[in-house]
Amino acid sequence: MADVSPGALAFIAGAAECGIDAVAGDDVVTLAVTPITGSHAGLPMQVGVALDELTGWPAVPPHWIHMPEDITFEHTNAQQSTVAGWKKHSRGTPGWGNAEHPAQAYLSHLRSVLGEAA
Amino acid sequence: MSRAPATVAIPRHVADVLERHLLRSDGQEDVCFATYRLSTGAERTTAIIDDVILPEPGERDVHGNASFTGAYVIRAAALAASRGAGLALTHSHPHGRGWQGLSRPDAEAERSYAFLVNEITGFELLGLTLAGANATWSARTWAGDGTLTWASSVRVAGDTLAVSFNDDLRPPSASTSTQIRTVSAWGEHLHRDISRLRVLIVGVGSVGLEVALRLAATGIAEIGLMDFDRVEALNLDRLVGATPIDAVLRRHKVPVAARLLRRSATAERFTVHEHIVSICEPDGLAIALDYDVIISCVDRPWPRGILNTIAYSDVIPIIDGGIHIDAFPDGGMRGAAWRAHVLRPGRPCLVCNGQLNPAMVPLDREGLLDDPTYIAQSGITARSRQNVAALSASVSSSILALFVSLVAGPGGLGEPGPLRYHLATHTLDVLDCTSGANCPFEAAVAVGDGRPVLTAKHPTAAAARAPYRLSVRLRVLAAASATVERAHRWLEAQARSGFGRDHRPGDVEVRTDPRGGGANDEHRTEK
Repeated sequence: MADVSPGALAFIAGAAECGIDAVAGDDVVTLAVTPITGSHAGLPMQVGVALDELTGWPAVPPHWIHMPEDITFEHTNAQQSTVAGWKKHSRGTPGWGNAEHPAQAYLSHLRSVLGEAA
Repeated sequence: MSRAPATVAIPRHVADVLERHLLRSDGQEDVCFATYRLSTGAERTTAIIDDVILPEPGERDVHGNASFTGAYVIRAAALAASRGAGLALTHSHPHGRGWQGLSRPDAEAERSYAFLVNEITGFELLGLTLAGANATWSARTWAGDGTLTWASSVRVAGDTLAVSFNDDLRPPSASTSTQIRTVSAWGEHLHRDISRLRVLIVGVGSVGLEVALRLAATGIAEIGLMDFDRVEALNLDRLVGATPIDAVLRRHKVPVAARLLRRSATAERFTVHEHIVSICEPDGLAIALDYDVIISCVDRPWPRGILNTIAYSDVIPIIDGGIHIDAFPDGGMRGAAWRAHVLRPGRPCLVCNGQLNPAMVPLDREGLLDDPTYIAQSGITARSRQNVAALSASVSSSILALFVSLVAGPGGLGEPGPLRYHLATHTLDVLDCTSGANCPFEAAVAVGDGRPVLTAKHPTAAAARAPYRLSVRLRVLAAASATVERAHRWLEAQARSGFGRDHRPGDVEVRTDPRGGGANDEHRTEK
């Protein structure tokens, strides 16, 4: 496992406070998120956030969301992930900066994105 | 701890707590502990006071002087250790004025606890004295073996920036004959302190260069310039003073600006530090932490995100400004507005005042904001690049006015908060921006090296530092240009050495060109 920055540790701790077990891997923190809308509603789905995007957490939100290749979107801007068999999707989160609980806000963002998955 | 703190920083709200406790209405001395964090720069380390540990009943005794119990020391040191912080022992000299030395009893008291505090916290004991007559701080550190190291300055950052200097380590420059008008505006004492500030300009474009030139002319003795970019022909309509030779030789902006600053500077001993680096690189950030005030003249989200961080985490006031010009699609100007603001604890950060979208920071860091393919796919709007030299001066002017408010506090008033000037109507707004209740930037006040890490490798900056290959013709041009520049420097040095020697103060000499000519040809020399 790579060095985990204080920002990434804070992200993992924040997810834990929301009842979600986030795990730091070599390059990516992975966690299971359950969307509440869309075709995958109610199903836990694995997603990831790059460790080097979490160094500035919570001041600066991560941009890319890593997902298994079988999760697809009608419209997306995707690149190869560092995780084998995954892709990373460009999904910025607007209006960042005033959430009382940043991890909770980011998890809402992840659920929202997953709600759009085909 | 690898280095003793060379400077100390105190956010105004923390200084207020200390001053309320230490400056008693009965005029007696008092004492209390505080915690500090380290901010490690390239050359200096700063101790940032982040919290005050006031004595509980029975922990200290006031009897003209003040004494405290061992239990208070232990409690404060243990609290500091639990936070991973250092411990500061503060006391007051109610009638003192200016930087304070140490009496033998005060020195013995501090030295006697140095080892204990070092053992408990892992940090050197920081000693601070507050001189009550003019609320001036002085500071020193004590190593575990009792070695004393004096700090060079203490800055208190609020709506004004009050910096007290150790004259032995940061001696003031004598004001020069070229600064008579400036000194008469704010007085010798203030000028001595303002001219000692270390000021960094991040981004030496049209606004940054002009701000730097004005600060050098004002008498600031130590200015840093940070930019990795090179001069191009398209810069010449805004980079006033840069020449076609600079552009054709693709010189870095920093040495070009440094050349111009040396000509404008009025300080007796002027130093310009040239930093061809990005503040987004770890080395660039470390350099920035060596300065007392930073002027932000960059428009990209990544460097602005970093500056927005250290304004709070490292208690370095950042004066930021920018312009937006609104052009009609088919030509013509719809309007323009420029803004300027001071970022510091107690004022809204760039996110809260609407000048930074943090979601853009990671995109900029990855270079995606310069990737046309990504921009087209993502639907984001490419950066607006319109600029007009005539209006750049207005942004510079706003930034410089905020600088003066911050360091001189005219009329007892500090910087006023975020400003916006509308060109079309020529109106100035003092914006009622408020801080977000949970703003992560502003929540990280005085965390020092615990700041969020936004720096990374910067391939564009690295590429810009790579040597630029010149043709034989351009190499000849460069050599000739360097010779002319050396001659110019020599001539200017000769001229400067004549200040105050060839003319007496107060002399006004009016000469008429002997070849004839009208009144417009008169040379009027005022000293």
